[in-house]
Amino acid sequence: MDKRVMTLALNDREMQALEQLAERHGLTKVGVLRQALRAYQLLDERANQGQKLFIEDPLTKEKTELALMVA
Amino acid sequence: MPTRWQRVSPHSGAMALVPMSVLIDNIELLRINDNTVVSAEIYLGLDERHLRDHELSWRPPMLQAARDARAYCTDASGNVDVGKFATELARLRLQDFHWDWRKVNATSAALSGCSAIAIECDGHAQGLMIIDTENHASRLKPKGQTIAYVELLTSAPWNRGTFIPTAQFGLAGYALVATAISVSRRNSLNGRVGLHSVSGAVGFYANKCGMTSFGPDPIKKNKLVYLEMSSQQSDAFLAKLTARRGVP
Repeated sequence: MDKRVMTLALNDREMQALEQLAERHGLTKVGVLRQALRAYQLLDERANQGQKLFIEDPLTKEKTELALMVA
Repeated sequence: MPTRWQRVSPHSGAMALVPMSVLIDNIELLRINDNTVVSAEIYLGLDERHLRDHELSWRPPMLQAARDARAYCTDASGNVDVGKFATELARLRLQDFHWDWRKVNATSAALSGCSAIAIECDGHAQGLMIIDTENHASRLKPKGQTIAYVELLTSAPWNRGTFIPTAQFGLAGYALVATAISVSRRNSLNGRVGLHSVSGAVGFYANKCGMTSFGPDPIKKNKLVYLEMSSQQSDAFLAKLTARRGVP
């Protein structure tokens, strides 16, 4: 599959978050970004179908709706 | 890279674009019945013949052995002892019996950095692997370097020496690890390899292959054990394999 290259500028906080996620999950920074893209794509598809995303507290079972926001 | 269309399932007409299979290297296996070293081919990309080998030759005995194991773990009332079944699958090295390699191949073809590998000997697939050379980083020092990460790895059921008691080829597991190292080197990753292992195979990777175990990985749902091999460990493994041409 052909690939295209892009350059990405991140501020210190974003880069720190990226590095922490990479270390926690044993991924390269590129690997984190690719997984994030796939996750965003999936969530976006479901949201476009009218579905809602919830996160659940494992202890209290309380559910909170998660809304996708574009910065 | 040249591509071809592959059916995603034998039961539907859905198709996926996957890389064509290309011979990239050779590796040695040990033919058990006459104790001779034979040459096997390593292919980058799975061809239809590899997938059909898995569907028609690998899966039927694996599914039957899994059914037998399940029956063994079922009481008179029809309740399955799930823990006992999991232990039995690990003992028989059958924890991959449900993997659909046709679907796996189609899925991995769409992911950047992922490649499918087949080891073929005597005209049949003897080992299959999905390996990622872009997205995973080393946990061994120096941390954060890109490694060749084995997403999935499996050998033909007749080479496992468990539910089919007489193995056809020895060294198949070692050949798969050696192939992962070869792919790592081809991608300028200096032989660095990592993988998450099912419980039944941890001893092989840690004790026989010399990989460093990080124990159960908390980020994995079923707490698979993460193991990794540094460049130096890869060199040592290959040197042992070459020198002894037997079980290290």
